[in-house]
Parts: sequence; C-alpha cells; structure tokens
Amino acid sequence: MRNSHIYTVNEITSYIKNLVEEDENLQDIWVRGEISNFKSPSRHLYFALKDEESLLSCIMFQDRVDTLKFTLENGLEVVARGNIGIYKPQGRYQLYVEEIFPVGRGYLYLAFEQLKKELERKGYFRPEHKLHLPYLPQRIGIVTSPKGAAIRDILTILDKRFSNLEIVLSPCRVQGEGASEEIAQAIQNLNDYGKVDVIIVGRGGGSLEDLFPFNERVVAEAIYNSHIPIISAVGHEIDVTISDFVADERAPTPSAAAERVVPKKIDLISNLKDCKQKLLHLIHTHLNSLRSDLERIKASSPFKQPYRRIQDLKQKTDDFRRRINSLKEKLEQEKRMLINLEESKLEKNKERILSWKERLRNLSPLSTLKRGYSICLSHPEGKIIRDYKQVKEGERVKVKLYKGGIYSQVYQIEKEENGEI
Amino acid sequence: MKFEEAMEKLQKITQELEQENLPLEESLQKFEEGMKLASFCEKKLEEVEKKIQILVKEGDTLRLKEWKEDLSTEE
Repeated sequence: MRNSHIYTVNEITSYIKNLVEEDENLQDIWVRGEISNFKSPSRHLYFALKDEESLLSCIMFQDRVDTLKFTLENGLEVVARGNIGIYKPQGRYQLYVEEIFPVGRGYLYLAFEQLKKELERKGYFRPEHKLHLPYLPQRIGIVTSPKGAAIRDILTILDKRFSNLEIVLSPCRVQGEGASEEIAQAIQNLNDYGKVDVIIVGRGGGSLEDLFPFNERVVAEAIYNSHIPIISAVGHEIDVTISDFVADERAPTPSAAAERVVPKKIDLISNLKDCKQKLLHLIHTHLNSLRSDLERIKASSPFKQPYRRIQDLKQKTDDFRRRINSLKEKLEQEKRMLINLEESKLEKNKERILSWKERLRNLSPLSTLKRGYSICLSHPEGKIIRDYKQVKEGERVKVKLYKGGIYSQVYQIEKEENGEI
Repeated sequence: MKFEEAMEKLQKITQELEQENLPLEESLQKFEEGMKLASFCEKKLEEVEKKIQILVKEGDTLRLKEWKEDLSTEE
C-alpha cells in the first residue's frame, strides 16, 4: 500500500472485509455477553452483545432465528456462535449469529433484581415513606441533562399547562460512567437549595445500559433521603427502574411527569370562575327566597289588617253571647211551656166538669123538650104514646111542651112506621 | 395559605352554602369568605413569574443562573 494512493470508500471497506472474513480466528467463533439493544423490525433479529467494557453488534437472519428454542430479550446473558463480518453500507463489523444459548440471567438484570430486593427489604418502597406531590407547585426542580430530550419535553408541557412557573434545573449527565453519582448529587443540591416544591428526576428513552444509572444504589438513596417530593420519569412506559420504585410517584415518561406535576392553569381558572358563579348563584337564591318569604309574610292577613284578629275575636265573643242568649231564651221557653202545660191541664179539668154538667142537663127530658121535642101522652091516663096503635082517631091526647102543653084530638093516624128520631 | 388549601376551603364553603339551611348572617359571611378565597386563588395563579434557572454548585456554594435554552427555536 502506498501513501500516495487514493482509495475509494468501497475499496478500503472491501479490503477490510476480506481481511476480517478470511481470518480463521474470526470465523465460527463463540462469544459470551449480555444481550442489549434488542430489535426485530423484520423477521431478522438485531441486537448487541456486551460486557462491562465492550459492545459487539450482532445480526441473526431469519433462517437461523427459526431454530431458536427461546426468546431473546435484553439483559439475557448468552453464548453465541457465528462469524465476524463487515456490513459495508454502514462500515460496521458484526457477528453473524448462527446459534445462541442463554447463560443464567444477565448481569445488569441480576444487579437490578438484587438491589430491588435489598431496598424493598429495607423499606425504601413503603407507602408510608411516600411524600404527597403538591397540588400547585410554586417552583419545580428538574434533575436531568440540559442537553437531553427529557428537559425539552418537560419544559414544553409545563409551558403549555402553566405559562408562568418558576423552574430550577439541577443539571447532571444521565448516562455513562459516573452518571449515577451526578444524578444523586443533583437531587442533593436541590434539597440543599430547598426552595422547590417538587422534583422531576428522569431522562428520555434509551437502552437498558443507558437507563442503568437510575437503577443504582446512590440514586435510590438520594431519592429516598430527599425531603422534597420526587416524581421519577425514566425512559418509556415499559422501562421500569429502581428510581421508579423509590420515588414518591412514578410517571411513564418525562412528559407525563410534567403533566402530573402541574394542573392546567386554564382548568384552574375556569374552576375558580365556576366556584365564584356558584357562590353568587347560591347567595342570590338564598336572598331571593328570603325576600319572597318576606313578601309572603307582608301580604299575609295579620300584616295587611292588623286589627283583624281582634275583630275576629270580638266576633267570636259576640257569637258566643248570641248563643248564650238563644240558649237562655230556649230555657225560658221550656219553662213557659211547662207552666202552660200545667195551666192548660187545670183548664181542661174545669172544662171537663162543665161539659159533664151540660151533658147531665141534656140527659134530663126537660132539656130535650127545650130543643123543641115534645111528649105525647094519652088523656086522661097520661101514658106516653110511642106507637100509633096506642091511639085511635077521635081520642084525646096531651102534648107536653118545654113550656106548658096542649090538649088535642087525633084526627088521622099515619101507619107508616117511621122509627125513632 | 397555599393555593390548594384555599381551593379546598372554597369548595367546603360552597357545599355549606348549598345546604341552604344557614341563617342569612352566616350565609352572607360564608359568601364573602368564598369570594375572598376565589380572588386569593386567582391572584396566586398570576403571582409567579415565568423563570427558568439552572442550579450550579461552585465550590461549596449553590448558585442560580439564568438558563438560556430557548425552547421555541428548537421546535
């Protein structure tokens, strides 16, 4: 190779490709590492094998994938067999995996599980340790990278919901070596500063390795020891970190954390307006009901005719008096009737005696004569003649009258039997 | 008083007024208190000024610095 020669990109890439792919040490080899950045956008699988210092890109083609006896996932410690090759379009070397076997659980997962168990035992996740997030924070602390996507997302959401807020960013790196210590320090700084009401701790999405600082003990302890409420918002919805467990609340994403931390100002304002209107309405209805009560009372008779009641009472007494009088009268009447009855009884008796006398008088023949009857007697025998047979024509009779009498001679006899009077 | 407390009080007062069997004096008192609380809350919403600062530690002292990140240009 000469220094003066100018290669094309393809020439040099092809040269390296040949170099690598013809090296027997790089063909049909076994590599041990932890799976990360696992993706399967097509039927092929893309991932990386990593250990604490290095990362090796891997690809597994569909025909090889079909032979897999288990599902690949991030954090899985595996041994893979394959060939190192160069992918020219990206100038990248990678392991073309033929087969793959799991080896226990991946280191990072193990570390995560172990720390989680320990902290849980120590009571770091207990609900009684959780602080309440303020309803409307005056000042919001944010622990994240000033250059990351998280701060932009958070600020955008906060600005939309509540345009006038005070925000204090406590900056730190959120991935790589030493990031966990920086995160812990940033949380501590905000606590020392002391004037924020709530802290958002988080970062945007990334690989398991990227998110790992939020799984470390220093961060867990800083969150646990914070006396300002903390909401943890690391990665995407599916990412769960130790910080999520220790924090007072967990949000699926930084944006969601921002939404959780601040209510919408517009909602608060309309809420307040509603409250005011309700108060006004309530006091109006109360006053109106009192007013109509008052009107009713004013219109009621005791107010309209104040003497009415007295008059009513007077009328009542008059009624009573009248009733008493009428009762008195009735009594008097009864009394009178009783007396009358006595008197009439006496009268009747008198009358009765009188009538008896009269009757007696009427029974005497004299009284009959007085009424115009007369008695015919034979003469001179003086027998009362009751029958025409007792006399004969030419005989003499005496007719006795009421006053005096007449002597007379029978000149004709009537045989008709006319009976008595 | 915090915004939240004022808001809670306001809601309580509204509920009490809703029950209607309060004497007029008390009713008016509550109404006045409620209106005051509402105004207080409204004021509270406007009282904070928009400010984004960055907390830096220089040696042993913490200092707030104005943060220059302009969001609108990034979008």
